[in-house]
Amino acid sequence: MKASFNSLFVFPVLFILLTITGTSLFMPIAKASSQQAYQDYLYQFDVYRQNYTDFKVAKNEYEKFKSLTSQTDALHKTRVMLSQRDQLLRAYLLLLNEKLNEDQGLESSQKQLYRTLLNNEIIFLNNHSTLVTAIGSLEDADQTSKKLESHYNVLQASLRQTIGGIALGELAIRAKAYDIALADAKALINTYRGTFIPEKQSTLDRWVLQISNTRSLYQQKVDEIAQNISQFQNADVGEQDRRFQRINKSVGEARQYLLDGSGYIRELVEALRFQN
Amino acid sequence: MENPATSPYTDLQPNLPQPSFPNPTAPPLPGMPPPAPSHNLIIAASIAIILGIGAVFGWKAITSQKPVSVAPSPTPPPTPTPTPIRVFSALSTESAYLYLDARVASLSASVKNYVVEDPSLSPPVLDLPLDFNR
Repeated sequence: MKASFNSLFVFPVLFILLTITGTSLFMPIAKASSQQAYQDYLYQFDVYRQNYTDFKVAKNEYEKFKSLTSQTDALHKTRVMLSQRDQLLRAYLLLLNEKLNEDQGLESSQKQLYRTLLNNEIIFLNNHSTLVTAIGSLEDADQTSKKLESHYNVLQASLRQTIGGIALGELAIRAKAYDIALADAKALINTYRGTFIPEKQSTLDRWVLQISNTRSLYQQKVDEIAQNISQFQNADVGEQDRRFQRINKSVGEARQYLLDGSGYIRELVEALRFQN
Repeated sequence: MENPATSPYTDLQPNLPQPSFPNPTAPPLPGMPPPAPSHNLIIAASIAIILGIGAVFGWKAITSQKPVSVAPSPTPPPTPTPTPIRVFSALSTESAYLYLDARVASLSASVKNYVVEDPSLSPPVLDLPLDFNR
């Protein structure tokens, strides 16, 4: 009797515990898509580094011995490395795509522009991967690799345009919050205009003007960034590097304008707290 | 054991024969080395040196002393300065104002935390040419 009574309690408890642990083990951990894409990109990069090391070793062996065995090994390792290189670049393009999907600051037309750039590069890499699988000799490997080398300028330009676009999206989210806060502050000042002493009222109006001017400076900087981003495609690698550095610097300056302006709004809100 | 130099009974010590020392003023005996300079002279020179050193230190001690300056004590004001009283405005308790306050705090934090160059977005740096020497 006692044994059956215990089993009445034990089995249900065990069942509940197993259900909880089972579902927690098999339940997928919720992660942002871009985080998952970033982990995949890091994994592909690790595999590529290993493949590249193997390729370098096989290449040195072939150049030293010039035997058929070393040639076959070098060909195999080159094929594997070139294939993994395409895989790595694809993983990076997918990461940028996920970041674009998560962005909430860009307009849909701008997002579509960057998505088109990324899709074009993914199509190129898919075609390139097909050529890699058809490599039959070291000469073929050289020619196939040169196809990617000659296209790399265009690929880099597309990547940097997209990175610049994502930065613009991040700034736009904050600028929108800035505009809403400023509009709310203006509405409050106008509603309670008669309650402040004239001296304080003129101070508040002056501060609102200063905050609006800071917003205008930010907008000028953003327009400059957008213009620099659009001029990537026709530039060589060196010019692309310089342009990219300028864009990053301008993004920092735009952020600083937002920081200054939000500080001014903070002061304005604090001033509204008191009558004098 | 008492120090004989400070003992009060030094005067009561028996009159014992004193050891003889060579007379510094007597002429040297033949074959003997010339006598050492007078002890009185040595003692006098030592005292002079000690006095000189003491005079130098004393002079330095006197000249290094600075006059003591007395810090002036502040005169307390006759009446304390009143703290300005700030009156809260009519809108400080409004929900719209409180909402704006929270929104501005959130905006400041968001802008401060924004990282301009996201390291996770840096493109991979690749060594492209194969450079086979055939």
